[in-house]
Amino acid sequence: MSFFLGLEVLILSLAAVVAGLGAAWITPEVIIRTTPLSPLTVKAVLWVLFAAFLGGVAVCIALWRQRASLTHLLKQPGPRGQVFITPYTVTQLATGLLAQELSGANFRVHLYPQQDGVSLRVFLRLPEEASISEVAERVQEILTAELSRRTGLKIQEVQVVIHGTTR
Amino acid sequence: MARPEELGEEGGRISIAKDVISTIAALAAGEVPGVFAPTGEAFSQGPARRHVDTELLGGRIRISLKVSVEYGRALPEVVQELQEKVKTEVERMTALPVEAVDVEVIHMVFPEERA
Repeated sequence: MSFFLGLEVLILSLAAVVAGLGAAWITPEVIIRTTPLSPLTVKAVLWVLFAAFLGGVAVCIALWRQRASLTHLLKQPGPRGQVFITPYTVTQLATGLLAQELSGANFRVHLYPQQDGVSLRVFLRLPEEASISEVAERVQEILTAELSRRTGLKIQEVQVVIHGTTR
Repeated sequence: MARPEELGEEGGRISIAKDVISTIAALAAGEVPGVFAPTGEAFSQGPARRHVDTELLGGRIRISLKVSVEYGRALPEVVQELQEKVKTEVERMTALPVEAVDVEVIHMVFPEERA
């Protein structure tokens, strides 16, 4: 787990513990003495905070698992030693390939782990006059063939998400 | 302090510091077309050597390099050439066997970054 993700999990877990203990143990007398709010409201807020912090921990752990699985996939053993192409490098390469093809379009590329390869999701904002099906097909073609050739990775799937148009 | 790696006892002992092996590896990496230090600078320059890690495993050397590769080149070919070059140069200059050269490609260098 990366340092910052680990730190986030630690802080969120501590906050969840504090909120959970507060919600479970704080007495109505203490609430009445310290705040103008009703004991029920305070307890409800504390439980909501507890759930939110726990949700944050779950999101961080899911993120970490996804990164770990991606890292594992991108490490390839070879006859002369291990080769690891970082997810950032693959994304950079995909971005470079698409930039040549999609001049004038806004896009971003996300990388996801699959069983024995990777999949890519391309979020595109195309010019109004562009043919969506042609562009999507071309994007899939370039990324599947060219990215695989340049990295040696198995590209299992390329999803194209058109999320708007540009003028 | 870097621990020296030792060669045979015949005619005296020769010690080679890990830093020396890392330097040889960095210089060899700098000779491979399209390979740069992670910062984008040439690998042969001084600070770039900190991206090379050398360890000794039962008398054999394992070298780990973090590199950037020029955009447009096929990574498997560049990495293979890099591993071969580093292994050959280190073995030639130290006479110590290189077990593996692990390579981590952490960045692509685009032409505009080099300008």
